[in-house]
Amino acid sequence: MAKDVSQNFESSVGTPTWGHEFWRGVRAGLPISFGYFPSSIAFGVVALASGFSGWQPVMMSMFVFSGAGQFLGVNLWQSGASLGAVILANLIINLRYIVMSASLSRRIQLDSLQAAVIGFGVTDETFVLNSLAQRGALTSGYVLGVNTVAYLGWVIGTVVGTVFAGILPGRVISGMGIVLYAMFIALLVPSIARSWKIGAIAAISGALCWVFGKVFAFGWAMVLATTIAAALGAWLWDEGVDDPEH
Amino acid sequence: MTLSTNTYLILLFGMAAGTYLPRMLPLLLPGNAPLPPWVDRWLKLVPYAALGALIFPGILSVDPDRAWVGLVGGAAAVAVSLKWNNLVYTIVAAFAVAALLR
Repeated sequence: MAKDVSQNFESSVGTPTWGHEFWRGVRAGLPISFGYFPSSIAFGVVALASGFSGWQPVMMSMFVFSGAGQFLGVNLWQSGASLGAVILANLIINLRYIVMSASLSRRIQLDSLQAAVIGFGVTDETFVLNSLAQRGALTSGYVLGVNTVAYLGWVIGTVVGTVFAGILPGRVISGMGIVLYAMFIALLVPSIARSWKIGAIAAISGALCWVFGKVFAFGWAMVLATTIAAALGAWLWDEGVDDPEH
Repeated sequence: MTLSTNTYLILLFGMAAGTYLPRMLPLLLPGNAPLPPWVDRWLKLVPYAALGALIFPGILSVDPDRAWVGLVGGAAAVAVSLKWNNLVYTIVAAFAVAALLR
């Protein structure tokens, strides 16, 4: 009898339902959602001040969902850049996602419909959380849960920014940014405890990002730092540093 | 300058496509495709490198005027994470420390 119970428990742990995985992802992604508020609220305020009106900033957050790209876009537009230049600049700053999605594709196998939906929600933050938050198999439900709650934070924050532009206490809102950094640190510290090499790669990447950030825009600085630091690690340690799947 | 609806829609569509395609297309790669081992190692290290680049130097701008606020909040996060390895505790501690400092 006791054996039967434990077997049932094992099987329910081994094959969680899609909905269960989705809600697990939603809970895991909540810090991203809150962490987005300073940026998404600021985006609503900045876009209104840059000549966009009414629901245009919110529509942009709903359809584009990219902090760096959207800020770059409205800044360039306001400074008088042509439509083509704005669209091209946005594409260039978002090329870093190629590296992230290619990395994610090694962790999870998706059919084309799943890729079409999940691909929309790949951001710097959801990529890192989805890649590192759990050690076992990554499921499409979990990833979609993380991406969905992050997306809602981004869109809702933009609504708040456009509706309450001008009357928001800026210092209180900007203080919420620490939530994202705390989440990143909570992901990084246990990884470093497993392998100091991970810490070395992250430290080199951060230092490179700081140096490149003095010369290039954030998107470029990040993709250069990430690419170079990860390549350095792959070149130095051919046995691999730590396999997140095991 | 203000935007006409048509101009806005072109901008919106162009930016949406330029964001979506780089994110989505690589997910269509077969995840078990044989890659040269160094490419596989590189892709597996990308998340950790991305973490480093996301934390620093961004954490310095948590308080735009005082870079040390982010650093002290981050140090609190490291300490709590080392002690309890708990995401919620870590976030609450960092948020509380940063809030006290402002």
